[in-house]
Amino acid sequence: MIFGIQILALCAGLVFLLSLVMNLVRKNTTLISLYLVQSLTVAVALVMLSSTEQSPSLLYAALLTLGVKGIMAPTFLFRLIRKYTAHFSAASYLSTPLSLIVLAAITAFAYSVAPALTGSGAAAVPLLFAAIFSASFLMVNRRGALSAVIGVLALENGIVLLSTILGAAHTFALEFTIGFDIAVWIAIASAFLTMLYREFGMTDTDMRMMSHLTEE
Amino acid sequence: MSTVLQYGFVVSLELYAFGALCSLLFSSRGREATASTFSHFFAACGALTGLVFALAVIFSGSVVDLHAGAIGLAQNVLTFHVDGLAAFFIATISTVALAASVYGIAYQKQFLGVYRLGHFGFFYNTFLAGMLAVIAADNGIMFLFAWEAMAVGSYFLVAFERHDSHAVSAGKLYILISQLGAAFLFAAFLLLFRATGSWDFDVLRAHAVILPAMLEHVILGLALIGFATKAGVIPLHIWLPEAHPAAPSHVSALMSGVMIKTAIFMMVRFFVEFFPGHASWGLVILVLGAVSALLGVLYALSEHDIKRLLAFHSVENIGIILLGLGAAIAFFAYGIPVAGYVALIAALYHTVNHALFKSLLFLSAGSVVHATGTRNMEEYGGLIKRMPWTAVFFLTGAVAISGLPPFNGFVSEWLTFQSLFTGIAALPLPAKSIFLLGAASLAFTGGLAAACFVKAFGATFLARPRSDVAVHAHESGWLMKLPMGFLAALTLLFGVGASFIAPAIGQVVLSLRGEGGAMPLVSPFAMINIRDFALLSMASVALVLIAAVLVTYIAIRVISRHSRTRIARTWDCGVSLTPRMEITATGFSRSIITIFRGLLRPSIQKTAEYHDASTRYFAKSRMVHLSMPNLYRTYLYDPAASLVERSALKTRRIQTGNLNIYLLYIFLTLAALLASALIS
Amino acid sequence: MEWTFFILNMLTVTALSPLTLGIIRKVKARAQNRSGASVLQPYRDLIKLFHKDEVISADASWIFSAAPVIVFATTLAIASGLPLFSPVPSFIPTGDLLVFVYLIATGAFFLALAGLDTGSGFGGIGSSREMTIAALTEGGLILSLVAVALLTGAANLGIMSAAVSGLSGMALLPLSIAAAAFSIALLAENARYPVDNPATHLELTMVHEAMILEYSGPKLALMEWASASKLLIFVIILGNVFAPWGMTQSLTLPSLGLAFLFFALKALVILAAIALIESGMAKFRFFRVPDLLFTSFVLSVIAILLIVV
Repeated sequence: MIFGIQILALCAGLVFLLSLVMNLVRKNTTLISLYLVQSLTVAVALVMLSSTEQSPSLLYAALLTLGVKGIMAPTFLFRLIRKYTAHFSAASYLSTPLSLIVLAAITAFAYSVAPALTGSGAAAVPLLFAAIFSASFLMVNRRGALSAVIGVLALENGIVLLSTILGAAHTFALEFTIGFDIAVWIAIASAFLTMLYREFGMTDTDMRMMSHLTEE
Repeated sequence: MSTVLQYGFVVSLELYAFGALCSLLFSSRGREATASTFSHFFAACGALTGLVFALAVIFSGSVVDLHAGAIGLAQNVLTFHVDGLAAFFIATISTVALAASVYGIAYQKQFLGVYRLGHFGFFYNTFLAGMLAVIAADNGIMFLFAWEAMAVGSYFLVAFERHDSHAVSAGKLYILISQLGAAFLFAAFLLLFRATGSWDFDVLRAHAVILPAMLEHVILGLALIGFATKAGVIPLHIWLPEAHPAAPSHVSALMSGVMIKTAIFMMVRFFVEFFPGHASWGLVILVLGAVSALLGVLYALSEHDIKRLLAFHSVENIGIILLGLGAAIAFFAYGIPVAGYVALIAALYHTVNHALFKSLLFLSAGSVVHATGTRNMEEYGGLIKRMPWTAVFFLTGAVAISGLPPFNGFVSEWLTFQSLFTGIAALPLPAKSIFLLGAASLAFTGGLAAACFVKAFGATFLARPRSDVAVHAHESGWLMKLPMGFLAALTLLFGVGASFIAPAIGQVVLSLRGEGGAMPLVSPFAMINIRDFALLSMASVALVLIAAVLVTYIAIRVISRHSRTRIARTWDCGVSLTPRMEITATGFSRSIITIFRGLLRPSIQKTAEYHDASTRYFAKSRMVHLSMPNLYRTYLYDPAASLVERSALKTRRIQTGNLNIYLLYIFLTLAALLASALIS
Repeated sequence: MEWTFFILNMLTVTALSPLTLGIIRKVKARAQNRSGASVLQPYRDLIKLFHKDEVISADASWIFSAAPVIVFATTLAIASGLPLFSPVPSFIPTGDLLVFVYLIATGAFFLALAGLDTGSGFGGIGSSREMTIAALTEGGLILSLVAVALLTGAANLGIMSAAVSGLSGMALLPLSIAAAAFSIALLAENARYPVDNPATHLELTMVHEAMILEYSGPKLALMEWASASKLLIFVIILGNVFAPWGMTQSLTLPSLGLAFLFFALKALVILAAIALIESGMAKFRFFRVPDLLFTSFVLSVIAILLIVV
């Protein structure tokens, strides 16, 4: 038991760390690799949970997570990058030091919010809240569209793990739905990115390009 | 009798629904004549059923409550409550709907092949059913639903002639202002729900919940604005002179005659039944009525479009009804219920009278428009020889609306005057002066209305034709004459039979205040007694008048039996008279507009084209442009609209087009929500 | 009992009304240092007109023929309810003050329509001016009578005159102010100076005369007679409702004779006053008339405020 909880806390910490690091890397491929590792972590956590709670459905859920988030999504994204040779997404609004400060503020905020909301003193919960907020920050800070996509996926990882730890009932139907949702989302995102590339020649959701679309 | 009471209302609604359905089924282009005839026929049947049902309710003094079974989500929503007041309004609506539907069978034929009659029939029946549901609704949700159905249905009817840009823009203005009023109503009803915890009107009727005074005033204010918008009270009336002329004439009759009265019905419910005892609101309503009456008739005098003229007269008559209603509310609040009953009887009597003579006027105006193809009175003239029956019906309506005895307009104006006089005598000083203002406004309004209808009838029907279309006009068919004759007979009946009708309305009013009972039968020669201050016996007055006319006529025939009559030209001072030598409708009312120019602010623009531009001595042509600005648009609606636009433009700055900013908004909102959850 | 009053009133008013015109013309003539026609001349005029043939315009319709009958009938109907020699013992339906005002309005309505019917420009202008004046006069007319009604507690002309004769002291002030307002309405409604000139031959200055310009023969006689009756009705109200002293309650013949003498005296005074106004001032320009009519309205409002406040 205790061993299981410790593993869960470890997974939570790893997810949080990965979210943080995603904010700092430069290459797109690294970003996707980090996402891959994050998904693996979530799968491991689910397997752990299934063994402690003796529910086979969670095992299936873990396998599904592995399949969709660990294999399918990264493959799609890697292919996309190779096709359009968008290897770097360095552009961001805040410089690296400032981003680090904001991330620290976010983590503090998450730690202050979490106990009041959940009431539990488990170490994992504030970490996961921080992971969720970091993923949101990734979406806001980075100019590239691909970063937004990865940000949403990381966000989803964090939410899944958080709900699992908070004890939400993990039926197979739920996981299946989440998986389906991820798959569809990937398809839409890749279509969106393709259109962006075709139209603007780059993936920047930058003011210079998109703001021309507003009505004047 | 009891079967009528039990099923009459539902059967009526079903007939309307059937008419709507039939109309849609036959709405393909080949079968539109069938669709139109069927839809109007079933509407007429529905109206007849409604009328019988309503009369049964009034005469038996009973109250009909209907509950539809639970239909899924609409568990307690489909409830209807028909008491004396609702039955009175249903009777009014059904009478006018009956006449208008029969009229419409023949009238709509002119649109065959031009517009889609099948769709018209659908919206027509929806509109009628919506009005019935508004009157009978017993809870807030049903009421609001029916109110919107009524508004949307009538919008499609107003914008029916969609190739005419004026009709389309009139419809747009109408639905916009209607929705604005409805927004106020939604706010009022939502506040009521929050305060009382239920949508049912029974809760309000039983005064089960005492609301805090401030909240009650806010709700009444919102409700008053919402209902005043629908009723066409100044300054919320600007849709009325645009929408009523644009619709087909029998729809105009319905809108002007009964749709604006649904707002009056709800005002009676709110201010007399649900939240009585507010003298200040009564005085506010009275002032609104006085202003609307006077300004309405002044604007009507400046019009030369016959249907716009009639639409402004609706504003005037709503003002007269509000005079009576405001007086009633004030009397009930000051503790003089007997006077309050008289005032409320006056208001309700004028409601039904206006419904009758206004729809009569609109139907006959519709006949004229149908025959000549134009609404401009300056192109009419001499139609009394070509459309004699329409002329008689229009004259009846004109005499009735001017308040001349022995027709019905006189009786309701008499009753309104008496309630105002009682207020001047019996109420404390501030209310006294407002009642005096109301009496003065009513006195002037009566005279100005008569002037306006001399102009309308004279310019349209008398003298020589002013244009070709008037020369070639033809009388309407019997299907159009029959409903007009029916309404004309009713105006005379409601005038002469006042001693019978007034106690009936009095019964309705008494049951509203909780003192019910069956209808007393009064002899038509009895007198209406206002606390021994004034007595009126309309039948006797009518009798004396008819006897005097007969005596005079016989005497003249006897005296001049040896005289000969020669037909010759009007005295023309030696030149031949052309139609341009008659007085025009614009010229007729020019004196009054000049006298009231402070209120109306007319403007004159003169342009001239000269033969020689440098000397400018001999003019080739001159043009005079007389106009009256729409002051409400300039000072109320346009500033409000531009304020909304400017603030919207400023708010648009948050739309940068940058995806990251939008994500930041989401993120910040989430954080703020979490933080607020933390604080609470 | 009431039927006798009806018939008696109608007959008396109709029979005496041409005399009022004669008296006014005689006084005017005397004021202008002429001897003038006899006071019975209007009767001769009416008889002459009744025997003449008539000419009707081809543009006119049935309204043209019906209007004289209706206008005359309204004067008969109003006359039936007036307190002529004595306040009526019981309620007569046509004596209600609003019935009176609106029957006058009915007459004006159909008269104006008749003016429009023949399509002559003069009739049109006359109708327009007449309806303008009528609309603006109604305020002062109704409110002056309402002032007396509030003073006496009844809105019926006969009952009002019975009650006013019992008033004295401070109540006479609002009564006289209301009487002044009513006099202005009398001048306006009966086409007298300074609102209208009943003896003009210039069509552009006509209001009432312009509307009956096209009439001839018996119909013209009816119109003239109706306007004379209207004048007598207003004089009766001014004399017997606003100043009802001299009227009798008992119905014996000597007292009725005495009441008639008193009434004749009052009527002579009023008619002479009208004639002297006509001799002494010029007719107002048309757009000065509304000021006069609003004055009448304001006087009535003052009277009402004095009574109820």
